[in-house]
Amino acid sequence: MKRLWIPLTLALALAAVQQQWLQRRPPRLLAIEPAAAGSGLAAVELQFSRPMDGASLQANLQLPADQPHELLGEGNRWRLQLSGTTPISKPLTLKIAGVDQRGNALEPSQWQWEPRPALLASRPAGENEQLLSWQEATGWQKLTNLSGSVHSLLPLGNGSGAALVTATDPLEKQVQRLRLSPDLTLIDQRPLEREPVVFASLSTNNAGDLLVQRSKLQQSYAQVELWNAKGKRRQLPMTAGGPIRLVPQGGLAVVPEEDGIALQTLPPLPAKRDFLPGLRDLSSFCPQAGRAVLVRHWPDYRRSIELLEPGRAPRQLWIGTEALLSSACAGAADRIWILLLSGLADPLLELVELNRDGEVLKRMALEGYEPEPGSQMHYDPSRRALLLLLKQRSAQGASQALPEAHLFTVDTGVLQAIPGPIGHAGWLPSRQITQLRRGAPRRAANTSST
Amino acid sequence: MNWLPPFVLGLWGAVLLQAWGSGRLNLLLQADFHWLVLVSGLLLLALAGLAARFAPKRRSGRTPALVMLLAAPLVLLIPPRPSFSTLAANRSSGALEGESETLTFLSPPEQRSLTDWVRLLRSQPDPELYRGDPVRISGFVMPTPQAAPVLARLTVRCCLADATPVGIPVIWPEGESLKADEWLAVSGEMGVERVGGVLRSVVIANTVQPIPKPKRPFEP
Repeated sequence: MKRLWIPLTLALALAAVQQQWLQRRPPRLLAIEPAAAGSGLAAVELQFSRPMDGASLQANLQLPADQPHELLGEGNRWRLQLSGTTPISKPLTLKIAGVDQRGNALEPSQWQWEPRPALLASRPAGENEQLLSWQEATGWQKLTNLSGSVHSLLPLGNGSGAALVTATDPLEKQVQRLRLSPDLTLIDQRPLEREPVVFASLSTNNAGDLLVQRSKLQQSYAQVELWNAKGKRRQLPMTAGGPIRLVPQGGLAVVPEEDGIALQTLPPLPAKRDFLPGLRDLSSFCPQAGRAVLVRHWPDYRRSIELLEPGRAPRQLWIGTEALLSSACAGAADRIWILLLSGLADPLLELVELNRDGEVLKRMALEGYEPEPGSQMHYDPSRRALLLLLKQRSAQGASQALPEAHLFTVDTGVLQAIPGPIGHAGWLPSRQITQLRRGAPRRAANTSST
Repeated sequence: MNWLPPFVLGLWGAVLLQAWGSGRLNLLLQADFHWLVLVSGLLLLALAGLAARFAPKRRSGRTPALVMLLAAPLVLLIPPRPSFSTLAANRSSGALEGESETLTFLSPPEQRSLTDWVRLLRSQPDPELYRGDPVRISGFVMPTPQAAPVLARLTVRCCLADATPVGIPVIWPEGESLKADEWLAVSGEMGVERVGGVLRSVVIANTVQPIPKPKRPFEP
């Protein structure tokens, strides 16, 4: 018995020392990652090793004085959200410091953060195309050459790269996935299919998952595959009457069917399905989870815009005879924009802004412009601007061969072209967060993995 | 014949079956694991039968059997009345497992449980997105230091040992008297408040109704 006292006392002392050491260990910032903007302009998620004191984090957080912001969350996970109504015009320097709930101080760190997404676009170059990125500071930058023509370009929702459908022959399309570094250089480019396909439709979500709907020449129906952000493929037993769209928050997909649209869970979530009957298409998602804008097609060829909210019947916001080209949504459907085209001989392109009650807030004619067929409108909350692909018409009625990207600032109504012809374009969420040490930037976009 | 071992085994088998049948297990274990208690009770009864029919050659100590014999009636007679708020106050609010994705489109705000709301607010903690959403939740009153009591639930993966509290701040109607552990149904709307410089979602309660403790008080 006596001999047991010594090891027992030693073990007890070791446990006490370890406990005291762990209690006094300072908290660490484990990860700093871009997050969905929500109702703000942009956001980053901060993950700490210990539950942090919110008041202390808030008090010690340093951003440019004119940049309103909010700190949201609790415990180990916090979200820094840029707020206000002034578009972000330059990268921000951010200092994070504070204490955890035990009063232990976090080592202060300083970061340079570019919250604005980059524009990713394809540009025809002879018989082939180029993939380009654009930011205010750099202008257009070539990322890579693509053989054949680009039929579809989709920047991935987590900003890690893009998916493309390219073709050298109309019946031989190839689905490719490109990985880009946070500072927008090409890491790799590889086809997702060995054999060419005749049809492919792409969709992504905020996590960077990629849904590919594709069919080969000998197939009578499209196969659906989900590639997760880590590149793991899973076949989904789905049939659809049109392009399937992944819900931005993940876990769900909107599946068009013959007589309506279905909302389905994706594996590994338990199977659930909600069906909305009627001749409806999904037009755009709102940043608030669970809200989306639908287009309803009426038998008399009118079209209406509806707001879909969780568990409620869709609410009609607008109805008209104009062709409804695309829509975009901000916040909790606080502002909805729709792009309309009317008239045959002298087509008129209009941008209409609605609120969530369907009131028309602004109606603006985009005279002298025509839309690029099939292109979508994308809202960037950080610039408070809509991305539109438009062709300029001359006084004689001739229009440009290729469209240009245009930014429509939603608060001022200014439409500004980004010079240079392009084929397809979309926003690539920014992952440009660099830690600053001793005055020099150090590539540490994430203390975990981004 | 030594009657004590088969009697004690049978008594404990009966205790487990009583706990399974009376709903007492709901306070201790997730429903997914209740069958294990039923099987154990039946096994103990079977062992009691075997021990009565075939007396073991080796005599076991009488003291443990006597302790078990005395403990069994106590377990049967004393009903469990755990204080959830005391338990919650001594547990850290850890990570909340489970999907928040399907809550977005598939469940309207007024059908979300307290745990659903906490999951959603942790995955997307932007209070402005939920301002004005109708809320109908139930839970027990959990006092918090230097602040108004919150409405809370305990989430359990397996059993009471891993219970994790999840709570949501509430702006209670003026003059509302609240008792710790009291179960309440609260309806109102989601609002926004600033605490210590941090913006957060808060339930603005319009009506508060005392309700009996649910038969299954834990949430998965």
